[in-house]
Amino acid sequence: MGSEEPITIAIDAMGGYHAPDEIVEAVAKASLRRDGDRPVYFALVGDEISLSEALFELDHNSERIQLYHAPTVVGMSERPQRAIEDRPDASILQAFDLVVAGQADAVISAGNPGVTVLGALRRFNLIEGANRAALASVYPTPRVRGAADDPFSLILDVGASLRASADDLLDFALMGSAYARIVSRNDQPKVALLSNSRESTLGPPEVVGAYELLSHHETLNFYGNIEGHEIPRGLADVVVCEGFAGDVAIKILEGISEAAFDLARSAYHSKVAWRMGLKLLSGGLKQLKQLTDFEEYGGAPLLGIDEVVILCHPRSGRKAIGNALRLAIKNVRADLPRAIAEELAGPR
Amino acid sequence: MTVDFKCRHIFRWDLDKTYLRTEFDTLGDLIRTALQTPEEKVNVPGVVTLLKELSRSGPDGRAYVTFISGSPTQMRQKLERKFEIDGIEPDVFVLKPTLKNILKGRFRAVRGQVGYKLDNLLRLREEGPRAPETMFGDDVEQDAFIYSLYADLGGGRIERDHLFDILDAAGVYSRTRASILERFSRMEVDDNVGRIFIHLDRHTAPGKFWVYGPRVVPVSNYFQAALVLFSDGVLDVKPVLRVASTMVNSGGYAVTALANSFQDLIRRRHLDRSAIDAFAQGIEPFRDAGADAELRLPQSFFEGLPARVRALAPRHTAPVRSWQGPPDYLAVLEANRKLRDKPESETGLFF
Repeated sequence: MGSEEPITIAIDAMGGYHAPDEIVEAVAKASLRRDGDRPVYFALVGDEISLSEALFELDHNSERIQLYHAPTVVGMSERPQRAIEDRPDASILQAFDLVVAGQADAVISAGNPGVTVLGALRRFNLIEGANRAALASVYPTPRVRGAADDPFSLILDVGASLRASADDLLDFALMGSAYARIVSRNDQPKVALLSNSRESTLGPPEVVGAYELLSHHETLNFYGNIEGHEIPRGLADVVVCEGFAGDVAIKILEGISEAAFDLARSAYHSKVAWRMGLKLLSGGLKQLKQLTDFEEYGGAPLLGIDEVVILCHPRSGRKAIGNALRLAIKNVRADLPRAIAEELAGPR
Repeated sequence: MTVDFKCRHIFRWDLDKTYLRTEFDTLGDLIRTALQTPEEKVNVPGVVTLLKELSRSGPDGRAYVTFISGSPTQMRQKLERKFEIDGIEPDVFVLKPTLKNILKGRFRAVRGQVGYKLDNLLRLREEGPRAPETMFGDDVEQDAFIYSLYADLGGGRIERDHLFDILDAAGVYSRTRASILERFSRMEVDDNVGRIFIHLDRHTAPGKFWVYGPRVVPVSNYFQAALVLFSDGVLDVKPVLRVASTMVNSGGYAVTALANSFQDLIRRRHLDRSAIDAFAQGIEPFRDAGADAELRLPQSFFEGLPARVRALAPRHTAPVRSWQGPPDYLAVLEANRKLRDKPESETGLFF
């Protein structure tokens, strides 16, 4: 409640492997949180009867939650184009429609990523100066950056499209740089280009071409090329790559963390001495897990479109959705699409 | 006591967190509350308007309003002054003898509410008029439990021995228990208690009150209570709009919050199709801003409410929630005890 312009976040309540229960739980919890001066509302889109039943059993602030019935859901393995054409009443598409109708300011979905990206591109416009949208994901590093001491670096694109030209990669760099400035409060984010070599002349032609553009750009703080093994070291604040490479890279990073903890878990059960050692280290390991767990940093914003869209991992539980809600609110408050548009309108 | 007026309805209220926005979660809150002047005390938005609308006298008599509060008797002067500022005149205002309880070493009675409130409810029932009753409490203490038990005693659904066991399990002191049992033995069955509204100050899950059945209606705000009272035929449309108007114009409420509250009631099946239609029809004459200058409700209010109804699934697809009463009060007490005693557990990293 308040006189400031309210923010409404539309949530695809049926998307992801833990929908709708974990999503409703995250929204219920978020509704109890104070979110600054601007009042925040949550629009849950999905099978209203199931959502109502779930809410009934949860502590929540009903004044801040509204439900929109969507009779159908897009499955995780469905082909995006077909699904979008066949089921305009699906929860994710209705969530987009709320934004189009001016009833919501952002969309969050843990559902089929292809449908979410394609749906967003069909419902919304690319911001002026952007040729493509890019999905930006954060990953933890040992270095902190910006006024917020942010331990996360940004990598984009991680799968909004497969390929990218040199110009697209420049756009991604500008968008990522703007995002780091706003979200991490990092005034001069270091931007790097992901390649298979630090040499500017090696790599595919679009990467070589992008190196030229980035290194001569007036406003970008270009670090140069980095190789895959340098991503987790946090040498750059923003890593730019084409969607296919980025998607593979981010999944490897997630997998490494999970595999490390699986190994520790099996070690814990193997020998008494290891168990004792791990117990002694458990405080630090817990912190490490918190840092590397994807649930801790919520979702990936889709940059380059004129609305705020956050994609969550399909395995997202209540914690990840809760963090994605925080991110969406922050991005709406910062008017992220406008800030990125301003960045792209600058010298190239 | 003889009642020398025609009573059409009795409204029984709790005070803190139901009528007043009192904070007493920390020691600091308690001290601040005790030191607040009557002018500084803040009402729950819409409550004064609702209470005034409910208390309006008509040809069928006047309403009888009682307050039973857990605040100490030492607060009487300040609280009575607060009522005066609000223009509220309760027929009875009961406060808790906290200091007396402390001096007598009755420490369970200092925190506990079951014995204190139930005994006073039965006393006021004996001494006051007989009419349909509506009750207002909150989710911070045990109002739903106490009001529901009181309603079932009046409805003749609880036996004496069972009441004894319930009071025993609730930790009620023997003297208070004896008083309650004595009043109970004199009680005439009339089943006068209708709705029990529980103001969700702590945003407790509505489902936690389902154990008491559909009579208990958890509400996030008094617009919701007014809507249910409209549906029950206790209030007309205009008083409901007056409550909404106060909440918007002086309670800091956004129309979106009211529209969401309206939808929430429908989703929880407290408003059925006929009530929704009647309300939609009833508000039409007030849609025009000039129709009633006193109401001052924005157009978005008249558009937002129907829009929230349209956003829902067809109601016939909603399953009917079953309930069989009376509640198992002993099981409720036991469940609460287990919840209180449950140690906080944290998931380990490796197991």
